[in-house]
Amino acid sequence: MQKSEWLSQVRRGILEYCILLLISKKSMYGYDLLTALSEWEVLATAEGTLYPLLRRLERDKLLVSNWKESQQGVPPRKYYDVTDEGKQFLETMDEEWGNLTTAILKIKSNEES
Amino acid sequence: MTERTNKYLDEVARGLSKLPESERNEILNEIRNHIYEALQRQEIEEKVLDRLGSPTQLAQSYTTISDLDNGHFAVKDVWGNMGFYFSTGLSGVVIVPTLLLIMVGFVLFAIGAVGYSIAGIFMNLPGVITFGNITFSGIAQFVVSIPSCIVLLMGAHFSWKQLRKYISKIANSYQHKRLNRIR
Repeated sequence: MQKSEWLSQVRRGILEYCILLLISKKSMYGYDLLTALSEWEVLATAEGTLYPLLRRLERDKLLVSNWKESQQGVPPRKYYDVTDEGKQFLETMDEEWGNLTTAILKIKSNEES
Repeated sequence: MTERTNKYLDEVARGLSKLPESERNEILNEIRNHIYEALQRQEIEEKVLDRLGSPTQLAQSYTTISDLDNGHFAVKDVWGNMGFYFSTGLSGVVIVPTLLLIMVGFVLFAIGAVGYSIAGIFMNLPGVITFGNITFSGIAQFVVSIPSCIVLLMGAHFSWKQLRKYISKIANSYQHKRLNRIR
């Protein structure tokens, strides 16, 4: 399998996790999130993927959104927050992510010994 | 907002036409705001729109979520996907068995050619392998049948490879179809 194909599959799986993690720290709007994600090259996401995904997370009641005016003269931005359900889901994801990395680490150390 | 952006948003709106108006406006406002934010940060309009993807595709990423959500999926989507399932399904029904038959045919002929020529040595059967106006029989026929057997087996191998290629192509297109849906 080519690197890009593999990477896009992995990314698709963890993108929701990263989004929930970022928004759980503070309310964010779409552009904000894109900038935050693009700080890490492996997480950089296309706009056309992120916005529909945000919509889906909102529909699934993991996120909630509000249009807020941040400064005068600047059009309102759509801020996202993690719902209680989202926070619960995030805890599950944290746990599973831990299991995943532990499993990989164990496989790797067995390989080397 | 320039004309280019407006045109882009109009096209997205058209792609979202089957969504309720409030939902459509909500989506359009968010995209409009995204473009605004990007331009505020001195980004180039053309690149911003490029990264959002084609308006039809962007709208589609939203509607595939919403179709499943609202239970609209059944009629419209089955109709829209009919071409895909019809063509892959029908061609599968025709092409897969045909290739399989061709392959089996090649193998049977290969076995038949060798078998007949061996039998020909012992039973003095009439020669069937001809080359120009020479007809081979007996031992000569057996010798000639070996390369013909190899050629026939190569034919079988070739149709087997085509069959595998075709099946993996179909499997792939189904997989991509499903990926589109999830996104």
